[in-house]
Amino acid sequence: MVELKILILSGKRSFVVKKIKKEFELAGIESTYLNIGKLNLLSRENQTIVKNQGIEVSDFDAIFLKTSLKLTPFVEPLLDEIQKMGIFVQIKPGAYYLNANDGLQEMVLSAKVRTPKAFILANPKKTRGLVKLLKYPVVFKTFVGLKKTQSIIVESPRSLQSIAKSIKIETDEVILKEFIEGDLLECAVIGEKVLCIKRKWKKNELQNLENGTIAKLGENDRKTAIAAMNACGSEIGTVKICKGFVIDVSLDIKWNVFCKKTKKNLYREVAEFYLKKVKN
Amino acid sequence: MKKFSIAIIGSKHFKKSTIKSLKEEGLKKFKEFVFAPINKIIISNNKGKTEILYRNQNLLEFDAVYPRLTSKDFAMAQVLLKALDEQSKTYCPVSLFGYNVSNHKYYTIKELANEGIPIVVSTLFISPETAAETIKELGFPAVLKLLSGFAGKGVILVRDEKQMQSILDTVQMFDEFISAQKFVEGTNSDIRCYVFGEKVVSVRRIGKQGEWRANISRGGIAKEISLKSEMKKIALDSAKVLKMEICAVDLIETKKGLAVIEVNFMPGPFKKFLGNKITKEMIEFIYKKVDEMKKNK
Repeated sequence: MVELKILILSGKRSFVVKKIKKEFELAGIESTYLNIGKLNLLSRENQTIVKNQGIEVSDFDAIFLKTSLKLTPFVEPLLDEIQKMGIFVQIKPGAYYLNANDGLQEMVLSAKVRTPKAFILANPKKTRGLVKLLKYPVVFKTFVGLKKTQSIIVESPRSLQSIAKSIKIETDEVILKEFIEGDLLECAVIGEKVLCIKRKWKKNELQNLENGTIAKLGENDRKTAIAAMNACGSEIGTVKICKGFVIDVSLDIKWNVFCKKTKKNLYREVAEFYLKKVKN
Repeated sequence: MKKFSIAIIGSKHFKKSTIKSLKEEGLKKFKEFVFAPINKIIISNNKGKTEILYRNQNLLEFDAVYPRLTSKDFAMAQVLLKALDEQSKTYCPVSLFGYNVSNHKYYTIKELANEGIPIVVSTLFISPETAAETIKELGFPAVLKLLSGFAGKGVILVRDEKQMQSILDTVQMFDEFISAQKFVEGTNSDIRCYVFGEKVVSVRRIGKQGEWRANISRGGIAKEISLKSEMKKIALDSAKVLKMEICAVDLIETKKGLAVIEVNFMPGPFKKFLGNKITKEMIEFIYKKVDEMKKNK
């Protein structure tokens, strides 16, 4: 039996957290749950301490982190500190910054995998000069701070111009991205394992994940999913692929839907992934 | 003979006098000078190729790009700095890492503390309950800093536990993150060390009467002072940790010696007090770096 101690760090003791904890225990891993809100970071001369009443973070071999991107300002320095302690976490420092900002994610992905042509700007009025440089339909997204305020599919240069013109609020980021029409492969990535649900594109509408069908991924798409996940700084999460293009990456997985659809125990996959990772 | 091109990318809330000063100095050294506010820039990604477009020019074809951005430009600033980090043709004196960390008051202190640079004891937390415990440990008075604050805004001096509780409750209502810092008793002045590569210029900031913060934007004054070796070492070490070749390191004088309170990604040049001194140093340093880069090719 391998003696491993894993800390599950999350905002709440959710169903998914409980399932993962149970699978860690079944795999012979000692696991402890801790609400991330109970932690605080304290820096003084020459050192930083991750403080908590009772639980010593440095006692653990690995951490499974499951928190909202809203906690980025706390999670980023925490991840940096955990990495410096030599404790394994499935998410690297910088990944919360990266995945909380759609434009930044776009930038990072485009350097590593195939992504649709995109423009990132701050002022929607600047789209005027870009309308002819894109193939339609186009996804038009606006953000105030890092919060998405609009996301629509635009069919023509004329519509794009009129929508951009109609925006009256001050935006901080605008993303214009060519929309790839076709079936979407939604992939749950856990280390080297990739499970896929195909969502059909029918009559200009994408099927819900719940109504999708389990699909076997080609080797290229599998490699793309893993490369996209790693580019975004994580080993566990979701990658959406359409016709070989990476459309989106998320640090979370729709656990229940994937378990039901693929008839696989994804929680066990996580436990096995940690066992392999930390043992090495 | 003048040579090379430089683009200054400014915040959407850029200060005209600073840009004017950078332009005056920039045109003395560089053949081409462009000022591009970040809200007029377009970043294009196509087939793995990135371009930073401003008025039909790709700024990645310039010899140097110096982004001067604040926390208010966060979303676009991160994208722009990533684009600059990923290339090696254009010289840029700052980095995405430097921007992310220096815009986070606690993260800055943490990075510097871990490298043995003197800092003021600081803490970061999520929940008010945890915060209350830790602040009590730090002792009163304490300084609470909103992570989103800048230029002295969002900095609160907390004198006792009762006052702290009401502030923590308010902050939570607005979904704000705060860091707490031990309050250092003393005068309302600090030392700003401007870093230009290996060169440091030190300036004393003195807050206006009755104001405990030394920020110039709050009515304070600035004057150049002679640089001491301790200041120089702390400033250069801090800039290296944050991967920035141009920045400003703010120091406070404590009983134990100097300590860093924050690092500025986009330091104001205090034109009213120092004229073009700071912008001249910035431009000359960038020019020197570009010249070295070209010679080494």
